[in-house]
Amino acid sequence: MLPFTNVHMHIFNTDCAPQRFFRVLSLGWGNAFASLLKSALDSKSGRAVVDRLARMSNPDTQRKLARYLAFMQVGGQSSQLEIFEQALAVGRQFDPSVRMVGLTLNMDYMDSPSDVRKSYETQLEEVRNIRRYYPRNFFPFLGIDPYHKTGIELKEWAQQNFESGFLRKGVALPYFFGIKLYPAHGFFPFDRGLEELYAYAEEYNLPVISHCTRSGSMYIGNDIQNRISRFPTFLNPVGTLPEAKASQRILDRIHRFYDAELVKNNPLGNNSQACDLFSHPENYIPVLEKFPNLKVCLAHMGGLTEFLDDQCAGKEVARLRKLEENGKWLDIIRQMMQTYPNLYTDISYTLSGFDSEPILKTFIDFLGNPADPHALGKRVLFGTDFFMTEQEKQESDLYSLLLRNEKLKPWITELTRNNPARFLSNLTPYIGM
Amino acid sequence: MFDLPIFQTLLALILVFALLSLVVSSLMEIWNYYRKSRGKLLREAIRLLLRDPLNKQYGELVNDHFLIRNLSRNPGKNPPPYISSNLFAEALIDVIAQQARHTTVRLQLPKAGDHERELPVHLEDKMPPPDPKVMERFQAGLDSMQPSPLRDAFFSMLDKSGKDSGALKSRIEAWYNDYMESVSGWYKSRQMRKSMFFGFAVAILLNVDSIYLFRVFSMDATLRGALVATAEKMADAYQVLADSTRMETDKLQEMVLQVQGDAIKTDSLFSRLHLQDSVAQRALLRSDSLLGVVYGLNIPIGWIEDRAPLSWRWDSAQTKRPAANTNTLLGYMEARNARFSIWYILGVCISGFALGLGAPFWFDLLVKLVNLRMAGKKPSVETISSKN
Repeated sequence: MLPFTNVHMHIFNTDCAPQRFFRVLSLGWGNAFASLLKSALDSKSGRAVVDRLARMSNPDTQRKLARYLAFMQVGGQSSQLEIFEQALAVGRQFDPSVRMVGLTLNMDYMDSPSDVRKSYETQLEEVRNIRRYYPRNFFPFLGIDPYHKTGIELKEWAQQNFESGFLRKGVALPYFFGIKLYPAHGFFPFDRGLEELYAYAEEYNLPVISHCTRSGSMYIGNDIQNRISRFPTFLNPVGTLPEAKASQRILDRIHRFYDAELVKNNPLGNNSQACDLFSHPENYIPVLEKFPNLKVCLAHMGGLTEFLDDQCAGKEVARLRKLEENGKWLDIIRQMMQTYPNLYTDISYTLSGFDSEPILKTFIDFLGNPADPHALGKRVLFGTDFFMTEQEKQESDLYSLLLRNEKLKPWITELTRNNPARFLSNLTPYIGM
Repeated sequence: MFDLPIFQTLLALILVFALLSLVVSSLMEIWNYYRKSRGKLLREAIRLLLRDPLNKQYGELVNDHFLIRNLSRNPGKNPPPYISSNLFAEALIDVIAQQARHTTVRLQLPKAGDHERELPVHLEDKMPPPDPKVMERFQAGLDSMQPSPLRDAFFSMLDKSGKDSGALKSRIEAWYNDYMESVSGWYKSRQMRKSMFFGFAVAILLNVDSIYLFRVFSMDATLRGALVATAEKMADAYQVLADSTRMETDKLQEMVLQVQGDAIKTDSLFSRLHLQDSVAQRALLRSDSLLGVVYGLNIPIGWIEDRAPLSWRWDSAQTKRPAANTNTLLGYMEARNARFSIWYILGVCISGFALGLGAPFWFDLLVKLVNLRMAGKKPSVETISSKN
């Protein structure tokens, strides 16, 4: 039996996030106090005070803060090792030899100017040690941001990381196994600076997992217009027909967002809607056209809101969909998966909504027929998005939601073992090591 | 001249400031203990010392190093308040040397399609020697760093130490010790600001109005005399203390209690509190005992109804009262109504500022004034005869 794998979890702690991280809450003028809020939430007593204050605020703010309080509870731990061990303890309850893909995040450039306590390089140093301590369970991905390094320099930096390792029982084991992208932090996946890296990843079968939801963490600097050019440079300006069509749609979308004044420099870093432009699933069409053998996973299936129609998803999402001139991101991902055989998606975070019957039904429809070898369900991966999900549900509840669900029974082995094994085929030689 | 009432009044006021400054010090001690101020500053200082935007944040890695992290009772949560130069050097050399471990084992990944069959090729030629010495690993760690001022500084230390681990360690230790002297300066200036804050807090909480105290002391000869006598005893005891001891708050507090024939109260309300640890509890008990000393000396502070500002509540009923004679103590106390509010606020502000200056400052001043007074005093007949 192939190993049980959680393909999506995080272990960075709040030291790795910028001081103004809480601008991601998009609290309007409240964003002015983002640094203060982070300082307060970093301590136990501070969290208790904020919890009390949150109870006096309006229900929406209360809900947002309550989520982030739970999130900070884990993220506020002193080390990444402790966070990993917490996730592993839960995972082992469901499979003693669980494999976990830890997605590192480069948050050094999600704010401008950069202001993180623990830089990304420092984060990686700790991650390497965790990999040495738990070589059978922990398989980290390397977070990439073209504002950190770009082009050939980025490729060389990534290569150095992928091609270095440690010795265990006489065998050299690598530290990193794939690439993590988080475009909402301020770059497009089709950024020209990523081209050499994609070529390298395609050549060496390194999978890419990319964040793909509305909202979440995002670029929080004051100068969003510097990050979103009206005419961004594409990987291949004269590409295939699908690429040309997708590029035109992307350009039109950017212009519409500009016209609606959603892309506008602002002193409080309220960039929530503008950053949806980075995360849009269509942004991967130019990449997949140019690198057809590159394995890409669009994480979260577009997010929970994309399982809902306009009415249920809320006015804001409906407005954005209208502006984007497309339907639900889930439908776009479905269409793209039908076109691109190396495109995957995962149920991380979205899994927290599986206790809702309509969402579960939509998910089962998405998976298709288990007997069909071409069913999209063969390219859907299991992940929990620990510890982001602490905002919604406990980690063990997420495992239970999937593994104890009768309706999903025919798909459990596919989602948790077979599909991850295909996506992470570069991990196959390490089974049992 | 030094026996004039004005001089004695000053002496009495300085004694009050000295005693209450000790209360301020105790409160600060509790605050620092709970906020882990010293540990946090040390952590931040190490982070800044090893700041290198071109490489990793070695300060964070040193702080999180096993040897350093576990110095604290609550590892990871509370940083250790003190790190010896020896331990710092050990951890730093280890952190740099560790880098070599992460970069010297080179692999060649199999190409797409071969992955499911093949392990990465282990490039033997780039392997470190089987058991590299610490200096070799340190050198390899430096080699793996991006060129940066910090890397250059480490290379320079390595060269100057003749690649001898002991010499390198000594250089790092000396560097750390020099830096820690500056850090002590930062700590003191931070404490100074904190001390001002706590000084004002105590002045408000205990309703310490310096102008009022000055007037009362100048008018009440009995109280003034008792306080001057206590001040002289305190000054004598303080002069006996060694210079280093004079800066230690707990030693000063013990001295005050000893002079007054008191001990730290163990039956106080605070002793019944189940505090997390004994350090905070001891500091609270000491503050409580010191306040006992202050009240035992009948110093007119605190929130009572016939004292400003609570006494102002009765002003409306007293408007028709004939103007009091402010040259007598009773008259002065009666006359202090809301019209005196500016003086009251000024008095509290002076107290806050004075208490923020710290106990050693006031005790030093007290000693100087007492010595001046003793020098100016006519020796009594008994003293002369005993000398003869």
